[in-house]
Amino acid sequence: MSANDDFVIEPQDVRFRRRPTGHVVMVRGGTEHVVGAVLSAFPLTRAGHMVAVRDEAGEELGMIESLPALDAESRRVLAEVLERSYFMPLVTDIHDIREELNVVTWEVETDRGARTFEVRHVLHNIRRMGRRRIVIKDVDGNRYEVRDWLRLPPLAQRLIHNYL
Amino acid sequence: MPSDKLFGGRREPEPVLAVIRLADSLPADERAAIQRLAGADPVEAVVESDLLASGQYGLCRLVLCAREVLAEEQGSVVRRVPRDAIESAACRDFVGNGLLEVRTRDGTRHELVRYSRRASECFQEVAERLNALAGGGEQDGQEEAPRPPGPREAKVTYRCPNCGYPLSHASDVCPKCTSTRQVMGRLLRLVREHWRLAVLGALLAVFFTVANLGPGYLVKQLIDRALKPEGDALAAMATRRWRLLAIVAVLFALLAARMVTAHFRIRVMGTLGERVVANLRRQLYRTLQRLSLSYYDREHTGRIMARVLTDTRMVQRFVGQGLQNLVVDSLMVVGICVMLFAMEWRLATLALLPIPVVVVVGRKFARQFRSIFRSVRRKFAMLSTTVSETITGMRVVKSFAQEDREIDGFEEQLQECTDAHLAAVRARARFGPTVTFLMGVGTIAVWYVGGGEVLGRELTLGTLILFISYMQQFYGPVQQLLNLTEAFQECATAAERVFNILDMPSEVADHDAAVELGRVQGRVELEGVTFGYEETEPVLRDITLTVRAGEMIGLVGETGSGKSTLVSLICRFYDPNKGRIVLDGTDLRDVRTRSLRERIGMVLQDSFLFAGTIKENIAYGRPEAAELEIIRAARAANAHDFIMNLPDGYDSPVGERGVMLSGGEKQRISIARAILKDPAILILDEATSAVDTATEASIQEALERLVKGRTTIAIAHRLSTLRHADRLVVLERGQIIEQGTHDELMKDPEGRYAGLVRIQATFSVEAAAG
Repeated sequence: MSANDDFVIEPQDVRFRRRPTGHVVMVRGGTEHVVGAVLSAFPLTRAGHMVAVRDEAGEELGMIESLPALDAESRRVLAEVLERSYFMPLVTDIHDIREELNVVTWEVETDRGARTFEVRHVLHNIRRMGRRRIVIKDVDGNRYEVRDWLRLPPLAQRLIHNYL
Repeated sequence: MPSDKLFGGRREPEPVLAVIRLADSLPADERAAIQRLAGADPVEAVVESDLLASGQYGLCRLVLCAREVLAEEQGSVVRRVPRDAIESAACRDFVGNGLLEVRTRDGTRHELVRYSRRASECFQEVAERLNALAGGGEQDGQEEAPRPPGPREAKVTYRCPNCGYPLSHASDVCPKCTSTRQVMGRLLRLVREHWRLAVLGALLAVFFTVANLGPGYLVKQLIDRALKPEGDALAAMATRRWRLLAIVAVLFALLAARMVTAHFRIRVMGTLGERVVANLRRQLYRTLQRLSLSYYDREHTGRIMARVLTDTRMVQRFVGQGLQNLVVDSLMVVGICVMLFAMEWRLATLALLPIPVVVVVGRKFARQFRSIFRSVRRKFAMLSTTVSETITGMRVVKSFAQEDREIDGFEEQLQECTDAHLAAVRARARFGPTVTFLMGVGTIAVWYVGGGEVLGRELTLGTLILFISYMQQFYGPVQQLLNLTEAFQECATAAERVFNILDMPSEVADHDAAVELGRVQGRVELEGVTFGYEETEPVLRDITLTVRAGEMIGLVGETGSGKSTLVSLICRFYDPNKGRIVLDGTDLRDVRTRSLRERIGMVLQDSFLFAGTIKENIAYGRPEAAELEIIRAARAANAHDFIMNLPDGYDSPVGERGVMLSGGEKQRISIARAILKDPAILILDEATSAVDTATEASIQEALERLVKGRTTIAIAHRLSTLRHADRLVVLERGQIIEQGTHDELMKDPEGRYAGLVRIQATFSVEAAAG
């Protein structure tokens, strides 16, 4: 386990590229490391910042403080990887929420398309992050975000209000 | 002698507490009688005990004279010890009784007096005084007394400081001393803050009452003027029709008015209740935050929560609903009485005659009910406890295959509980119908007498109908007013408990001249510190210790040797009874507590994590910390990797609603929290729970990083910690018996430290692992 010393990767020292084989590599000081995983340290509160890069063995290669500081191509490549690493569609509208025997079924519209999912243990799995933001976890562990519930269409607001 | 009436026999109408009575305070004849016993030796003080040496209940007096100490039973001196021969005095505690023993200089032990546990505290004081007189110095009464090998009654009786009434726990409210009037007065003062709402509520109540009483009168008019007028009132049909219309119109208006008034009244009084309670809860929570730790030691969490949540709700129910019922019901009762007497006083008297009977019967039933309900509550509580215990201990039940026995046990309790409830049902079946019957009798009487008057043309039909309808409206409020006394009482008790907390002083408080600390080097000195959670049982005795800045001290000792207590004192959770603690030259008592705590970091055995995210937990104490700092701290604590493996990373929720972390993981987050705080002084209370070797190594490394260069006081269990410590301090029964480095102390294989190292399992595991 590495100590504290230079785990921060300076944005100007590094580039991220996708190779034709499909691998993503981190190029730093002439050396290429194959990137195994890219993880956000604060995926809910500071996405796009404090991103950890791990190699294929799971060892941490370092952390990037801020993605926007990288070059455009690197940004694009990492954004693609991160989007898979933490997938959370944005809910834009709610058509219905119905509850039956402790399972709550949601029928929603997201920025990724329409979706129906089931939620259990409503107290645990519907998280309020601040006053407007809600993160929902369904029975399979999929996550959905409502950025500002007060900006949802009126019916959606009424439906979701019961679960806040 | 006067007190013989109280003890010395079967009768003990009220338990009497023992007190030390000085000679001057004794009544003349009593003093003379005692003096006769003592002879020429002037009597100084007398203490009465309730047990004789034989173990019988009886009066035994301990008489302190100038030259001797005497014990007297039934008029004769049974024991005497010359005062100057007394070397020390001690109280020995046993189950159900205690005894006061003195040791004389020739080594003999004398049992002076026996007493029941009710007098324990008093005789404790006597022992202390005897010790002081014997010149025993700083010794307390328990110094020489070895612990009795048998069972000890650990419970202390809490008594009301005012009247001596035994309380169920330390902060309970004395039911004798509580003046309901006072409490309600204070409560009303809280309401006064929202006086506008209260006044509005009162006005609405008046309107409501009028709206309620109105219809009765209007019906009378309807009958007498429109429907069936008599004599002079007889008028043309058209007029009567008109009157019918008019009266019905007013009735309708009143109905509407009643609805509107009721609506607003409920809203207004409801709001008042909620506001008062919100205020109360706010004050309570603030008070709880400033109360010192000893309060939390004394009280169960459950009880504290009951205060904040349940008791306040009771107050709210009363202020929001009970009060308005009180006002409305009283107004109704008064209003109806006035109306009835104004109409026909003889009939009114008859109508109201059943009232006193109903009240008396109601009271009698209420008393019965109270005892039945007490039994119901108790039985139900027992049942609940049984159920919850079984569920919690299901693993044990199943592994010992005791399911059938549990079922039988439950069956018994269920039966008792049901029986109690049935008793309540029977009581209710008797009460309700009986009262209704009595009220009905009154109504019938009115029909009869009133009917006669109507036939005799002394009374109009309308008036009779009005009487009957008002009577119907009367009994309800009367009943409710009767019930109100109970709600009143409940509320008063609840409010008193809440006020009790609000009034509690913080024991460890900053005095006015307390200073803020600046940059702290971390030199801690304890000078002659003596402390006990109960003053008479010191946990630390005369501790003198200096910790240099940047030094790491390991505290070692058996359970109960005082290690955790020492650490609590340094954090100033308590103040020492004797001696002082100095930080960088300033007495802790002269420092602003908040300032002190900001500079102390703690990693405790129980790494308590709040409900929140991992990020919030690590940054607790430094909420303004940047993300990079948080990550650095987590990395230093070897926590970063497992955190990054969680789906939400540092944003993962922990606590009841969140991810379950292992003990080792919680510890490391706790360490990260301390690292981030970067305190001048670190308190480390190592967890004894076993973790796997890899995690252990990981935690050790984290701790090493945390401790480096920081003044650290560690309650050490790990061999590695002990080896690394600059100095080890071995405590036994509250005193320092050995000091030195690990190697120095191990040189003496007979020494206490070496012995501990051999015993401690953690060490053996580590030693075996190499």
